[in-house]
Amino acid sequence: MGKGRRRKGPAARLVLVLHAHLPYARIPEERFPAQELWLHQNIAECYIPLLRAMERLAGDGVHFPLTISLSPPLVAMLGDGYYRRKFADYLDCVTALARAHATPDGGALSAALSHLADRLGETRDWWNTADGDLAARFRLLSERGAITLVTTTATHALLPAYRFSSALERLQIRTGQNVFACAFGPAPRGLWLPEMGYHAGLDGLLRDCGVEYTFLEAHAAYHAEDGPEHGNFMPFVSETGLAIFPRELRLSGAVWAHRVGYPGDARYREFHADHTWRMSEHELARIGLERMPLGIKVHRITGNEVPREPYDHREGEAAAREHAADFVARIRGRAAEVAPLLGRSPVFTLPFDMELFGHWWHEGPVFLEELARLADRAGDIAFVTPEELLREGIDSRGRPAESSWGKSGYFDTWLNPACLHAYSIIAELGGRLFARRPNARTLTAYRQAAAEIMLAQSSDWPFFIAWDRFADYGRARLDEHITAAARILAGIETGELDDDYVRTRVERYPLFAASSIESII
Amino acid sequence: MPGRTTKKATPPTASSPTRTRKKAAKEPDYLIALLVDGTGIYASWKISDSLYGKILRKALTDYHGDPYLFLQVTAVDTGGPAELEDIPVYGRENRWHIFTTGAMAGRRVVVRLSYQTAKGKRENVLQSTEIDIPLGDEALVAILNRPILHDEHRLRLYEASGIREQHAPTSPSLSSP
Repeated sequence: MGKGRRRKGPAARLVLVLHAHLPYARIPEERFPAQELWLHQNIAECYIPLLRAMERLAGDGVHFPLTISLSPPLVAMLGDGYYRRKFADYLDCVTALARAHATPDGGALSAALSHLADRLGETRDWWNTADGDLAARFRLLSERGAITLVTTTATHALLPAYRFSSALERLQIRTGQNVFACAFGPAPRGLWLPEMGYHAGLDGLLRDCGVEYTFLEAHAAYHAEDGPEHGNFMPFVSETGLAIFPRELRLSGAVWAHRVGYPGDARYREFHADHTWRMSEHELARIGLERMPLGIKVHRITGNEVPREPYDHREGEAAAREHAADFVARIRGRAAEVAPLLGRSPVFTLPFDMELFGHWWHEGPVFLEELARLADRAGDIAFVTPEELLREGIDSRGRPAESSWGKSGYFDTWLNPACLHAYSIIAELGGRLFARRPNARTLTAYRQAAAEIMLAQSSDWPFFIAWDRFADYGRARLDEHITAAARILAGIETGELDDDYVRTRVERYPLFAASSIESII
Repeated sequence: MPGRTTKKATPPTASSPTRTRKKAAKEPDYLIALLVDGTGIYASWKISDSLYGKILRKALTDYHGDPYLFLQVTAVDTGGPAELEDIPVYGRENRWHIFTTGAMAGRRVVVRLSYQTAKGKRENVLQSTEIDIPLGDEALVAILNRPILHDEHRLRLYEASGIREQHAPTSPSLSSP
């Protein structure tokens, strides 16, 4: 074949990774506790709109192979009838409130409320069709090859905080894999490291646990002496054989950054302004609600220090499409910049929190769908999965540097002074757990003690504390799980188990009750 | 005693702290060393009664009868000096912040807790897991510029990566800053 007739390869290939995680919370005493509202709002604004977009793309034959990581706490909540019932109640309440405030001639704000009510109504229809089983829809897309699912650690523990105990790390990794296997079938080949936290030697442990690939921050490809030849523009393989997909910064920054990135555009819907605050307490009380941010968002970003204007969904969606076109141009520009340095076309790894698309950035799903269609039509930008690249073979080798995402690129957000002592306590609790083997009498308690230790390890609590967002809640959860683990372990050690207490804890935090944790330990 | 053979130092035990705890579950010994950021390691330790008793039998002690303890940062890779830092510390259960130095940049290290014997020797009692100390900017540029080991494009790749200006992005979600 003549050179001129040879089909040209893509200018760039992209591994787009969406990581979904929410902290596990179950508060049956309240109708809509804030911690459960996080889940409800993300189901309505992020998970369902993304699933619908992916289903449309797959139906239209558009190849957009996202890599999706679903955390075990999220998988557990999505699969639990308790949350499904509460979500349906939430959706009906919010739809009714939005509809009630949308008067026929009420101007732009009413139009925004009316549009929101219509949109939530469509969400309700889809939810009914799906029988409320989002995990099944993710599984279906995965089985059709439209997406690749990977897992993460059991409770989203930052593993470098537990580097002193490979047993605690292994418990997190293997439990995460087990939860995934129960929900989606075979064990996943990839694993999302929470907060992209990596420490020396973790590659070997991950390989021991059957993990073939993971994703790391950009500087993981530069800040070690024997870093990979192609920096963060190609995947590379560590000395133990773990494939690493390092993040591309400039492109991902255009998407996530709230000031300089796309989501800050004034045409987009404002995240923080919630119309519920304008509703009377009397009206809310009539339908059994207290005043709380239910997620009735009907204003656009507008600008600082000016009254917020009503949201116009047509303008917002047009902006998302413009930004998708701009992003395609940026991808081409970035590829043209780095390809000569690499001597080949780059692979850009773009990992994001899934909740950015739809929850924080309302129009994010529209952006992604448009991006998929534009790239599909253009042909010079190809979305690929890590597994496709593994099949091709990854020739770059190197040692990854210790790193995480976060403000400094290391672990200080989670290893902050207010939390450091907790890691020592968890180390001791882990030691006590691993020193015992359960018997028929203690099995339930043993599993729950392990679950409590893992729940204490969640990276959410130090994050809340470090950023002073829900700091009291973060401290309370950390204390709660440490106290529960200590109490249950003491019962096992002394032979004086408090069965009622253990039962109460299992009922409140049942997410690992069915896992045979003892077989991992 | 002149001419007497000193008993061979007990090998560091806490490289597998779990195993240590398994042996004495109610009385754990541990030395935890966590890389907090590019400039510091947080170390915390706890010495059990039994281990402390062993230390006291051989240690040089101060006026209060406490042993002289040290945290040592030791390189476990090749290509440079092994002993990188030696800090006098105290306490059966305590924590310390160790600032990383230029000599540590790019090295794989462990932190060891040791004590001084009455005979003037050092004995290690606890050891952390390995830590890769990240390269600082200066060391990074020097390494990236090395023509023998790295091709000339690597420094340009680093400059193109945007790491210097935008070290680590923040995301607005609940779990990720």
